[in-house]
Amino acid sequence: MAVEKVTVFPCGGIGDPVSSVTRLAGYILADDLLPGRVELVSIPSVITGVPDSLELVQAYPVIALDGCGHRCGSNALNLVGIKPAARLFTPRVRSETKNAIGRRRPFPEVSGQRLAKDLAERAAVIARHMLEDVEYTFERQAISPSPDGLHDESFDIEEALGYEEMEAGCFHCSGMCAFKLEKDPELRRRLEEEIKEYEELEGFEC
Amino acid sequence: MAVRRICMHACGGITKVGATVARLATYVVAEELVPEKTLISCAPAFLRGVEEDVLMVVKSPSIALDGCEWSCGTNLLFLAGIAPAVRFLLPEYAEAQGYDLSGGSRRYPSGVTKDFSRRVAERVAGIAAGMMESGSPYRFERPELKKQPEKWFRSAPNMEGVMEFVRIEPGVYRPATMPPLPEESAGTAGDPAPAVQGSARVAGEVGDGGAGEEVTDGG
Repeated sequence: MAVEKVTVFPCGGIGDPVSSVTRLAGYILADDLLPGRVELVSIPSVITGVPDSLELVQAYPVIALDGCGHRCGSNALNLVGIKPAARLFTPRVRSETKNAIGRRRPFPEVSGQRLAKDLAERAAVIARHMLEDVEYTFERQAISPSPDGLHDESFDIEEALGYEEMEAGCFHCSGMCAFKLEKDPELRRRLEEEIKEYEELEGFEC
Repeated sequence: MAVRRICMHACGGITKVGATVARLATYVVAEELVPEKTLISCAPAFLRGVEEDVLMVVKSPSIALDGCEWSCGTNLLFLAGIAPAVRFLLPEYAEAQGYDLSGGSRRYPSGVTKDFSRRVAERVAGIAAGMMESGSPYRFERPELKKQPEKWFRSAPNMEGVMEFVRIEPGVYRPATMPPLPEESAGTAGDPAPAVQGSARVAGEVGDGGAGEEVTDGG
């Protein structure tokens, strides 16, 4: 069946530099790799009920990008009763690729920019499978408050969503259609050759 | 109680330039203009229940930076039973300050995105300084955190019908339930802003002792 679009849900943090990495990964996906086929959604806009955001998390499969061990992206989706179709866990991807998160928050350092590309590459592979494989199935989900994990970090979000790691850092959520992870050299080439890395941006040292 | 720290609460959006401005302005305040006295509230971590992110919005007055009319920064706090001390509606503030965000980057800290974020940060720092100044009359009462999932998914542009505001100047608002800012009491707040910006409606009443104007049903 495949799907028309895929929604990407970066963690949306701000205090930890990794949040700038997941945010950049979202932009690389939506602006550079799969423009028009990937939509970005932020966490607050779903909770508060911005109509476009609500539609995007219900109508299309959602790929959550969790930035750190708090797993806020996954938790936010669970709060609103939406199961992610896939989850990328940045600490595991970082361990695999050895690209450091860095320390800067306004925009990631070069190593963080490369980690963002690593995340975007994995998310793009997963998204393309959802978009192009006729055997991939997805049923529209419906939001409903599920406040078990609200302001409660003791809530075990991994167990609640039944995550299973398919490849380093790439997780499948229980009850959702399985996705494939097939490496694509052309995608890697585009990431390396077409998406510029910055050491400095108008006074912001990267 | 007197204020020792302020909490910056950016809207957390990702699709609009205003959200990126909110994020960058937060860093400028916390890393350059008011270091050591600025806490950065992380909306997802607050929802998750990360202890420090919950405590900071309860123990310190928040300055919410809303990147668009949907006002997710202010609304997310409201849904937890918290009113920000001040709310910036960035598109309106940009227009009033002469910035055109239409060509700004949501991805990079560059151009008008960068320039306007510094302008916002400077205004925030000025408000924060007044709140934290030695001898300041400003007092902050700790709110009680509430869980109100029954109020989720009901966003209205500019918090219309949900929260009343006093307009300090175009794009800068104080919830009517929060104490006047020191600059209001001193009569030095931003311009009287007679014009209606965005969907704000001005009732024409002077707020509770401040220089701003009461907004009856939205910001």
